[in-house]
Amino acid sequence: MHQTLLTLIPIVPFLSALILFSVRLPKILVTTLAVSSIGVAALCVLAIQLTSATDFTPIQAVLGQWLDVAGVKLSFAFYLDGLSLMMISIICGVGWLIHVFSAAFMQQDCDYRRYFCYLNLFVAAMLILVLADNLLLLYLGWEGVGLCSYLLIGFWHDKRSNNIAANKAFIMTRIGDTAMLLGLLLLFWQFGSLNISEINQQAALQMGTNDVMINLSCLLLFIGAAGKSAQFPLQNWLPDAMAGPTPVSALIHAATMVTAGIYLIARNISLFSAANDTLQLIAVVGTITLLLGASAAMVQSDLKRILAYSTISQLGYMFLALGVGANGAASFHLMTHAFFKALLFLAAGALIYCMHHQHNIFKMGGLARKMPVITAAFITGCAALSALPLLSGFFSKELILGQVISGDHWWLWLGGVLGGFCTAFYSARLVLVVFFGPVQQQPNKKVPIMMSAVLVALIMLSIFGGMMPASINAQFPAASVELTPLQHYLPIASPFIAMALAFLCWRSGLFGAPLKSPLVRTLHSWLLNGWQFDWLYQQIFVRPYFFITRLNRHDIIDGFYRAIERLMLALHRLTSLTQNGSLRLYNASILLFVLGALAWVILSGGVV
Amino acid sequence: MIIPLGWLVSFSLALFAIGVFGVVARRNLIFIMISIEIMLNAVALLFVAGSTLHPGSDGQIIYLLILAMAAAEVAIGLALVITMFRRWQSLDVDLLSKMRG
Repeated sequence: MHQTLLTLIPIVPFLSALILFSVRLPKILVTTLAVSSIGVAALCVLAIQLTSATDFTPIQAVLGQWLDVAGVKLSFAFYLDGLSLMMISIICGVGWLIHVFSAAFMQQDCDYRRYFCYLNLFVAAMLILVLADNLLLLYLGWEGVGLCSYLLIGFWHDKRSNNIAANKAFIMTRIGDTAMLLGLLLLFWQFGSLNISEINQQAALQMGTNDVMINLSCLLLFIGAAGKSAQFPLQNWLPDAMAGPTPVSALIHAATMVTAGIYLIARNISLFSAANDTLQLIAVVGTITLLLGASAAMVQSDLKRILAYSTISQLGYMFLALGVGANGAASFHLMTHAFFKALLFLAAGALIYCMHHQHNIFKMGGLARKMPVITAAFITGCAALSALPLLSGFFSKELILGQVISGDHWWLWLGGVLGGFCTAFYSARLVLVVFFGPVQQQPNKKVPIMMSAVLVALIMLSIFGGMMPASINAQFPAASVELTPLQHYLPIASPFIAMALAFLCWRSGLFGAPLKSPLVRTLHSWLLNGWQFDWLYQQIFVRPYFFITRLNRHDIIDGFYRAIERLMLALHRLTSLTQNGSLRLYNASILLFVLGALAWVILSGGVV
Repeated sequence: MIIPLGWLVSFSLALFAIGVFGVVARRNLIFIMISIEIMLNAVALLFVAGSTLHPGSDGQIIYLLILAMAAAEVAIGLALVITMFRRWQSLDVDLLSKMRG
């Protein structure tokens, strides 16, 4: 029973994507098919959730053999445990809500069918990624979601900047993917298997050994995860990925795909536990990323870019948690983040939809009266994002910071608290600038009912989603933590201080005001461009690359073949000199040859 | 009296050399053909002279063969000469260098 449901979950969206791809259906049927296919998958997940015990026993479903070559046995097999159950609940649940939202959001788009085809394909690939029982199948899903992300970022492909953004996302994640593939091969070389459970069982025997090869393969896997999850130093594709339709940003670039990296590490936690150095690196990278994202989000003026940097920063928290071994906390934050970030993105989508496709927050203002649902959505989402007490984000972030400090990582903890401070600051700034103050621009549309309904559902999830799923708790039991009052209250108090500060700044009109001092202006533009990573990569990689290509414009390798060609041509000219058509010369040369031949025969002793 | 063989060989060689010189140095096609005839006759003379040294008549038979071949060659050669003259109104072989590589 469970096996059948499990196989249905990824297959139904995939079939729907295939149908949408190949058959030209009327709009209403496209909507029905796309939304209901995810709905069916969500119902299957719900059925599994309801009928299984709280401490979830893993189920496995084998569809068939995939590869059986030289001792490698891989099958199309799905594996469901507490972690993947939580993931598929998010993917199908939030994914379904976003599909419903998209149906309203994309109503006027002429490429309606293509949009839903990609979106369904994405959900199918993501489900395969999450449910895969071996790393190669996971890699298949991994590439699948990367492809869909590329297609959807460049969805409005008649604008050149969108295509460039899509290329950037694809290439940056490809760097990570390549590292990940190398990591897979290295793991196979060491363990002789690609089955996730087998690898982790074998690695568990070497727990804490800090073996060099395991460290190396974990590092490679982490680079893959960092590429997909937009971690430092591969983070700068995500803000540009906002070129896609907003529901896509919500589904792919906030709630699900970018969490694939966290899932990968959480999934192979026994393996990573044998690589302490890599885990420490992950924690440090997570902290850098969360500070980078949070600080950059403080100065953005594009609504979606604020949310994008915020996503980077929240993913940084998750990696920080993974790095200190707080797997459960990371997964928990993954879930709550999926709720409130999907909420924020969808609310942003609805806002942009109603506001003449305006992205600049300083062109908005005083919208609280006009759009109560969107305002409520933003306030709830931002409050959960800033981890205000009793909202979902609070519980998960508290858990992460508690686990960090209990591992005696003082600096990382301080980074996390500082990040939380910045998070609350930019959240408050966003809400204040957009929804309060003088009215700048009137909305030209009303919020469609369907959008409002989805927003309300997500508001509920963001408020009440702060309960640790039992299956996660059973799989990764969190150690109870003793905190000193400072450690306990500083993370709780700092968002309030930040919000008060933001309110003061807003009251005195600091947000959006022109900058006078050159130092501040430099700092502002440095933060605005996300610590100038685009510029840095331009200097380090793109320009030397162009320099080398210019040097090698006439291809050195080709030069060799061209030299052969030249030699042949010269020889040809030389020999064709003798072909001058002069009969007398021919005669003379025949004579000379005969004379020479005779002389040779005579001198060498004659013919026998 | 019998002419000594050495003389015959020397004479034949001299004739052949004259022929070769004619083939290489002459530009007129008819003279080239005559030079070829001279070379053929030089060789034929050598065969006849050689046949006196050996019993049997092999040398003379070969001479007849060369004679027949020379006749055939002349027939073809003169035909070519006529064709060339019709085409260029001249027999200068240096004109025939249009097919250079």
